[in-house]
Amino acid sequence: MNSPTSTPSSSPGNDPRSRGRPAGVKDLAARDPLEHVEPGESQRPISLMLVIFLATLFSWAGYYAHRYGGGYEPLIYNENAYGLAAAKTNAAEKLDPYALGQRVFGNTCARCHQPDGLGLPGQYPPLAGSEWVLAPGPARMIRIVLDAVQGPIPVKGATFDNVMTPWRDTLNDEQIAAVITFVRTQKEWGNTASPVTPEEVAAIRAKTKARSAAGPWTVAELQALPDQEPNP
Amino acid sequence: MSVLWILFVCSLVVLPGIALLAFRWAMRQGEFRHLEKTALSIFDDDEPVGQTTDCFPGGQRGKKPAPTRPPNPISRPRLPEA
Amino acid sequence: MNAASPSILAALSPSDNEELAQRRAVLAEIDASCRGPLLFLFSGSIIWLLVGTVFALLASLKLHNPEYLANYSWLTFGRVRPAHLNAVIYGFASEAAIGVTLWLMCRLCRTPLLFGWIINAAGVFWNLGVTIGVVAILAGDSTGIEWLEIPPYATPILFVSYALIAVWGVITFRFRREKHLYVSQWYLLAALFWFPWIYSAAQILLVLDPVRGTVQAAVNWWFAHNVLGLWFTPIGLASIYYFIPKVLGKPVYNYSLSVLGFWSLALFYNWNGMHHLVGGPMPAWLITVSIVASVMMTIPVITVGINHHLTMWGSFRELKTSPVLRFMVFGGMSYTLTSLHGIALALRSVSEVTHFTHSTIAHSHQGMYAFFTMVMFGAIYYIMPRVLQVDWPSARLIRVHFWAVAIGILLYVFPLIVGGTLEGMAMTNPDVPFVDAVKPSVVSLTLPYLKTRSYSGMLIFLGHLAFAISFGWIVLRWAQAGRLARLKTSLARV
Repeated sequence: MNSPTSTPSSSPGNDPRSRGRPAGVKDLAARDPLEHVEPGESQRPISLMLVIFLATLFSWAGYYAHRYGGGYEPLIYNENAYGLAAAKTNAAEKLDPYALGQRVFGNTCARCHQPDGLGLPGQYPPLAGSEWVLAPGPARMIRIVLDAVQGPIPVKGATFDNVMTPWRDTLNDEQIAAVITFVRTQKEWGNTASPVTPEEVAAIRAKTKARSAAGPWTVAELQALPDQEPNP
Repeated sequence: MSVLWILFVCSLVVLPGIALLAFRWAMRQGEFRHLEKTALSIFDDDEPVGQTTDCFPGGQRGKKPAPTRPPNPISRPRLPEA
Repeated sequence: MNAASPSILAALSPSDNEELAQRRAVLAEIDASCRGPLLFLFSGSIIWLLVGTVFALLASLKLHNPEYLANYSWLTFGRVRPAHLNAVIYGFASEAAIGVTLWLMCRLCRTPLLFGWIINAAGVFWNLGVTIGVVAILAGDSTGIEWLEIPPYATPILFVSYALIAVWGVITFRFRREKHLYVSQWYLLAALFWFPWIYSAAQILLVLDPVRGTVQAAVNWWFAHNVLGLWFTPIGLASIYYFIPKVLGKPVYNYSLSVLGFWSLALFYNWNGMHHLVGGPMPAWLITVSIVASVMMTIPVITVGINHHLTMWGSFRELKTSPVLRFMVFGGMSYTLTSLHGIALALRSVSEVTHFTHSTIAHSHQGMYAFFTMVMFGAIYYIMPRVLQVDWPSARLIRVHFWAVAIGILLYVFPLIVGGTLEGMAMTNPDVPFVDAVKPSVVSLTLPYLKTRSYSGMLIFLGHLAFAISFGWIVLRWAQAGRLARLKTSLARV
């Protein structure tokens, strides 16, 4: 308690510390040690702005955590897997085949056939404008990607005598379909053939399983095949 | 793995427990009442109001005279009689 | 005391009221009890500040001039950068924080610091631990975990020292003579408990018994983010909450908001950290929860901002005359800015661009330097004259210090945020190569910003030199004043 000789009558209005309090009330409270009811700030109503602000934030937090929480499953890495049902199946995302093909091409094919698809003269045949790529049906091309081809092979009027790498055990049906689709429909190279589905690849993969042990295809073998794969 | 279990127990039971206890202690202490008094508790009774207590060395502080203010309502601990 | 300035005189001037004189004596007793430990801690922290700045400059120069000092294995980038980080975090910032915490604790509890030699002993151990740690990092013995590079044989020393200090802080609190707890005490007390929690958790999970795989990255980011938020931020905010009202002589704008600010910080901050791993191989919910917590940090940030800025409102004139206020207000404004910026950075769409760029570095310096370090400077400018009873020797040095570091850090942070964002946009664009001899690349794009950073580092170093000279000078003055006083008493006896 302060010394009672101090001057409680000095105007509290001048004092910025007694902002918003009726004059005289503080001094009463200060003098009476049993006075517990505290007039002033502690009874000041909570600001409406503050309530709205907090309510908005908490609503947003609840929405965001639910929407992008992936169902709180430990194995869901994709925040867009919305809701528990989607989360539990953990279904792989459907990729754009053209984009997937572009990636597969960059990782596997571009090393020899070059990023521009023109190949290297005398060593690797071009894919841009190649009659093997642009055949009406993909039967030959799928076989080449699966089990490779043994030269000499004529492409766009030039002959290439080289051996390709087989991709049967490295790429799956979806990847092979995607990369063939990408190469056949790559407009920048002037290629405008039809796309290929993973099912077509799967069918040929199953059909040529026994043949794969014999190594790469020869040009004669491939040319003996029809353009379009006959329906089984 | 055992470390993770310790972590689980700590994060789910011990730490929130401590936080709740701290909150309860604060409530009982009356920390959430008398807020305006508490805001004033850093000032001394004789401290001039509205006058800065810091200046560049050799400089003058704010020229405006300190208004007299009512005594600080908080009781101060006394120096132990020595 | 002939060297005293008006501000000191105010505290020392004889009073007509005996009771007031007695209270002043209590205050003087409290300040005097802190003198030894604070002198030790602040001297140590300023030495580490200079050492850390030199390492920072070396690291910055190497980023655009890779051949510079590249032949000395001790001074390669991979060692200089962690040496800088650990020197400024554990050497400078933590030591200054401990000093300011102890002084604030004593002042707010209105009780003197008992047995100061315990703090001195702890300070010796702390400096020993940091020295061993930094030398070991330079020797190539770092753990390689960011913010925790100090090898495991140096950390126990830090632990023991910290335990002594924290226990002593809590004991001082236990013997408080002030009934009301001010909001600063809340922050300080919480920080004293939070730091050992996050530090020991990170040490156990990353160094002693390492968790496996990507969990390491999660723990590492959690620690790195929370050491800022649960150790440095509370101490910085506690200082601003004390010094701005104290210097202005007017109370905090709205005290009940400050209570909300403290508890919401305590509730939300420790969820943060995972938002730095957006796009990483982490469960989606972990990152999402962190982003939510980051956005919820708006509550403490806004409430603290309202309190700091509206307390200042109408008093900006005082910035001209008070150095403490300058540093504090700069720090307070930086806190608001850096926090809002940090919240924006946590959002997925922003993070995808800015992560792994210089923008993150700019952000952490905005928090650690523009906010925390500036606040520590301000606090030291307020505390030292009161503890030593001698005023700062030169206003010019203080002005040089303020303008050099203020311009320096602005020149550091804002260009680097711009540069980092451009860098991120270039890195997400597959058409821009990372390095190229002819074409514009990511590297050539960031180069001017990295050079700007080196210049700003030089400016900041200049400011630190001015501060160190100022500090050495005031200690010298105090020593001389003490000798003079002893001479007087011995003459009087004769």
